[in-house]
Amino acid sequence: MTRAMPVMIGLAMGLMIPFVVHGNGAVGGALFLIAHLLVLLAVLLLLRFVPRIGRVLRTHRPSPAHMARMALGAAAGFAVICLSCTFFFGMPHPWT
Amino acid sequence: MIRLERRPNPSQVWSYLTPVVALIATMIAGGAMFAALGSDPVEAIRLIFWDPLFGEFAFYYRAQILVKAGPLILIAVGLALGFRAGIWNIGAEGQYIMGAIFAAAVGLAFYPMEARWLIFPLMIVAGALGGFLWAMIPALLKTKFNTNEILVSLLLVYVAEQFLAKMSFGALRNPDGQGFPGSRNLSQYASTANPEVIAGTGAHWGVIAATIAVLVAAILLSRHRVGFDIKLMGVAPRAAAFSGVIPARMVILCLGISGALAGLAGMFEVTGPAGQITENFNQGYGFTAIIVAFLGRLNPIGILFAGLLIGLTYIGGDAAQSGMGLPLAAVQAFQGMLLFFLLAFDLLTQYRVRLGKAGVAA
Repeated sequence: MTRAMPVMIGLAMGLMIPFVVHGNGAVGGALFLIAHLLVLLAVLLLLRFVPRIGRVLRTHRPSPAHMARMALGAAAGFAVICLSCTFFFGMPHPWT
Repeated sequence: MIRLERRPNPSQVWSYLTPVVALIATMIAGGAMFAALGSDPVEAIRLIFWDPLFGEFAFYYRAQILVKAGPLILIAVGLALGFRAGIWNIGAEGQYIMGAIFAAAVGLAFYPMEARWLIFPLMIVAGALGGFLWAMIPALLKTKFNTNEILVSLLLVYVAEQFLAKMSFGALRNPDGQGFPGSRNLSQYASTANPEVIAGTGAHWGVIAATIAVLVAAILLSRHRVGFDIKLMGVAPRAAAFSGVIPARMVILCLGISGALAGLAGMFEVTGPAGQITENFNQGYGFTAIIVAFLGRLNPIGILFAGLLIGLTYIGGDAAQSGMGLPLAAVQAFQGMLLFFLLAFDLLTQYRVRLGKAGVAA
């Protein structure tokens, strides 16, 4: 696994955070589950056609550095989606 | 005929003394300029350099020096890494603006939620990301099409300024602001505010980040392989290529670091001293940081002192404006003189002036 890959995985997770947070209760949970099932499905499909992915997954061992890169990617993804919310949907009005 | 001849062995001592001599020359020439404007030169120099440190209101001015020096140091450290590698990022001002806009947009997306533990760190990431992405435009254009990064990064400053105006009148405008341009005040919203960490010192999170950046850059340049590669690429690009340094990767690294640090400076400024996104939010820190980087001899520790010195001239300049009625342009010219003299004395450190006819090539 290259050093850029955990950042990309984190980025995808970060982009999903608001959808999960805003989908209250069962909807949020369902979104979370569906997103992960889709990722799993995509990986399984890719495994069938790209043997290199299988090799990467077999040799990959999680590490603190991997987690840190993923967290950084997630923060960047979350920042980007928040940014797009403000830019495209305008300033939030106070709800309290 | 006057010609310049390269010195075979430039003096190391003179090289370190150059900033001090440049400062003294600036005081003399600046004093002459203030005298020509009808002001007392000694009084003006005293107001700029002495009063903010030891005068009656020094307790207030000293904190303000740190507030001004923080973003300058943060940006200059990033620029120095690039300059040492021969990568000339002149558009730090644009990256500073984009960092501020990104951070403000992320912070305001959560308004009025109270979750500082989440929002403020996220704004830091967004600020760095904004500056980084803006710096990636000249970086990728240089690596893919060999464009001149000086021109591209500089022109992107004006694009960023237009974007800033658009944001302050458009997407980021305060919906409760009765139609006035400018965002909500981030320094009055607890989750996004960047207050002083130690009360009365002026040291907000930006100053702390600048100090950390100086230490990390000093270690990087003196103890790390990446720092060695950066220096090698600046001194001998061909040797660097032979030793395995990939120039394109170095361009992206240096511009990325300098962009991210400039973005961070913008983030800390918009959440602290500036408080909000307005059309005239940027004050030229990105350009002044170039002076700071050179005044500090492109050395992180030198940049720390140079940033404090330029911060002093900013605060002293304000004091001279209010105390003696000096025009703003005169104070800015005074700061410009510092870079001019620095470059001039630098040139004389590397070259000697010869009078007479040029020699015939053998």
